[in-house]
Amino acid sequence: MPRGVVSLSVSVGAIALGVGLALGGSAGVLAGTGWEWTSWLLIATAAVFVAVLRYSSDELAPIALGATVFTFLAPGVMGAGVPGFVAVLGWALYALFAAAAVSLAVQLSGRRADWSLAVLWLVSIAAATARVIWRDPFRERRCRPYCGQNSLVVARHGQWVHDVDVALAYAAVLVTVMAIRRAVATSDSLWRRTGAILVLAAVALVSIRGAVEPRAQPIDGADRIVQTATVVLLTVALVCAAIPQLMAVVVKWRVRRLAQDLARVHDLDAIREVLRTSTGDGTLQIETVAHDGEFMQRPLSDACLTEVRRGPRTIALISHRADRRELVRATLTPTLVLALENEHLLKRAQAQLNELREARRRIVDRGDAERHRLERDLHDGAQQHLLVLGIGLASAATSAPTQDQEVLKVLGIHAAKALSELRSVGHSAALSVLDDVGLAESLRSLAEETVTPLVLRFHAMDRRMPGQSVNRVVYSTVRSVLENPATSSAVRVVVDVKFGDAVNLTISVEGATLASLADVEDRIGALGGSWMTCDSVDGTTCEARIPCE
Amino acid sequence: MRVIVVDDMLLVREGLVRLLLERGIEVVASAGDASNIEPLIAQHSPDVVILDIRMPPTFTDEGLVAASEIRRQHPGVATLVLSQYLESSYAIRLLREAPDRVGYLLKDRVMDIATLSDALRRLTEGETVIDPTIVTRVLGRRREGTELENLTARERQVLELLAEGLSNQAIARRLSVNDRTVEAHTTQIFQKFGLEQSRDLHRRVLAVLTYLRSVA
Repeated sequence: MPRGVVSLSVSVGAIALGVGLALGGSAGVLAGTGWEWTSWLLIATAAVFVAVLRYSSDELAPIALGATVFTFLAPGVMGAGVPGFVAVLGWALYALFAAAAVSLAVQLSGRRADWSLAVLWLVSIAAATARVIWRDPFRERRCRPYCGQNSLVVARHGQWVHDVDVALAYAAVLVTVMAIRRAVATSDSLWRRTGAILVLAAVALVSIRGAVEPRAQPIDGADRIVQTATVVLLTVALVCAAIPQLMAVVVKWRVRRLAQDLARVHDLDAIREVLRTSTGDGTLQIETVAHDGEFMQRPLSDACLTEVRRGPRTIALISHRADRRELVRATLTPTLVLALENEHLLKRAQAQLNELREARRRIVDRGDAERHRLERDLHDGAQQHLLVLGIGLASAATSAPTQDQEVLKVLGIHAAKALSELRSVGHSAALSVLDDVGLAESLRSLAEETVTPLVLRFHAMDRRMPGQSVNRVVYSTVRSVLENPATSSAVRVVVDVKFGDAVNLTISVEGATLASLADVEDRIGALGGSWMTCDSVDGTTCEARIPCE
Repeated sequence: MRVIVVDDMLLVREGLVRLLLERGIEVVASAGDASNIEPLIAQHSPDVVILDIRMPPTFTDEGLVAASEIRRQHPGVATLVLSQYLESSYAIRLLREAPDRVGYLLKDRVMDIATLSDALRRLTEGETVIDPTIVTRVLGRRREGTELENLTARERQVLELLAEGLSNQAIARRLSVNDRTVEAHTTQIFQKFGLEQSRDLHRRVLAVLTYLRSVA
């Protein structure tokens, strides 16, 4: 049988029994009547509860819980005048679980965080042991109703034993309260801790009853106060257990609704809102993690972090109030974790995409910078020297003898040609003029240089003009299309430039089919833009969209 | 003729000064940038200031800025901007920002002293000078279905010279026709373009160049 089903059905059974015992037991206490049948019931309930808890979890916690239960239960049962074989059974169980409790207590006391729990168990074991010694149930098998009277200890110090007995009963109540608090604070299952509270409370009641009954016929005022206090405690414990249980139901309902919502919309804000409402923690923050080792800023000093993991990877971090850890965990159902993983994968993909885009942009920028440098070097170096050479030749020609003049003039023409060729190299490479005169003017100049007729259309010239990098990409794109070998055979090229949030560039090459323009795609992609070409019988149409930063 | 030469490259500046002196043009001063041009003009009162377009500190358009400033402050002083760029938009900007008597020539022209001295002479005579290569580029652009196709060969010749900044008389001399014929041609051209003909030579050049650049 699946463990989940066992755990659930037993937990439900335990709660039902606990409630029944609480109601029946308290009624019995208040009426001051028969306890034997409740003792039987308690033994059976506790045995089943402990056994199933043992098999429904791999952890040692259920053993410890069982030990605690029997630590309280055994002396109560044995002192309450049950048949001998039941008392022996109780003894055996008590010995078994006391040993387990001690071993666990020793183990836990090694861990600083749990030392108080260990002390708690040790105290309750000591209390129970003391009471068994005083009660001395094996002296007389059928010690009903005044078992203690047959004990040597009790016979000699009757009143004193009774006082200690009542004091121990109070101690048992105190320990129960602490155990409840502890159970609420440490358990990671709502069902289990609910069961623990109920059983602990019921056992405390029986224990007290066992301590006070032999002497109180009828029950005196002081005992009644103790019993009433126990009943109140039991009720409070029930309510305390019920609230998180109800909360858990609400959380599950909300998460189910979130799952439906998530099918429609992916939104980290929506997930955060659900988590905030279901845990009642308005300061809760959630962040998906793109890379391992990424941390989030803690908004509050007393906030703690819960890691959401899937496989080896941390997919999200949740910062919340320290006392909401369990509620947060309860909310993290597989659906929610899946939604978070989805967000995490999106964020991871986006981060990788951004890195790639940055890298591409850096490559393009470096290329531009190189071209710029080349152009400046040409302008400030070779071109100037050629100019000086040309001036020198022209100057020499005026004063040279007639026969040399012709040679000097030819040399001068060569210098001029070299200068003009260098200029075209520098100009085609450089974008400095573009930065200076703007996109529209530069494109018009481009139209003057090209053999193919170029029609330029500018639309919706926004007040907000694109930045330098966008201008450069638009210019380079048009230039690349015009310089494409296929374009020279085109009838004409029509360039449409629309300005707005993004520059929409449409280039229609009429009567020619363009070859691949990979460099253009790279440049546009580097700015996060898109590039599409469409070939038809009329030619190639290219469409680019470049977002303005 | 008195000239001031402004160019940040020392060798080019010196070469240009020597060339002009050999040609009998008086170079009254020279400078490496345009920041101190005002006192030089006040001191030497030149006829023309020759400016390189790209100069310190930003190496972008200092020459253009200085030219329009000089034209505004000293209407009697003509300016000639020399540029390495075949960029008609710079020429148009100069025409737009500076009142008449400005010139825009490719820097290569300094090797052709005849063209350079001719440009200087035209500027002192009140004409506007635009480099023929730039005019050829603007005019040479292939267009379909525009008014430019409806011009006769002669009108096209006139348009070219007109865009270079020549006056009607100068065009007539260049084409060996009489002034009245040139006037008729220019009227025809402006009518075809749908432009209003200005008496002002400078505005005429600007209008024609702007039209030619913008028409698709």
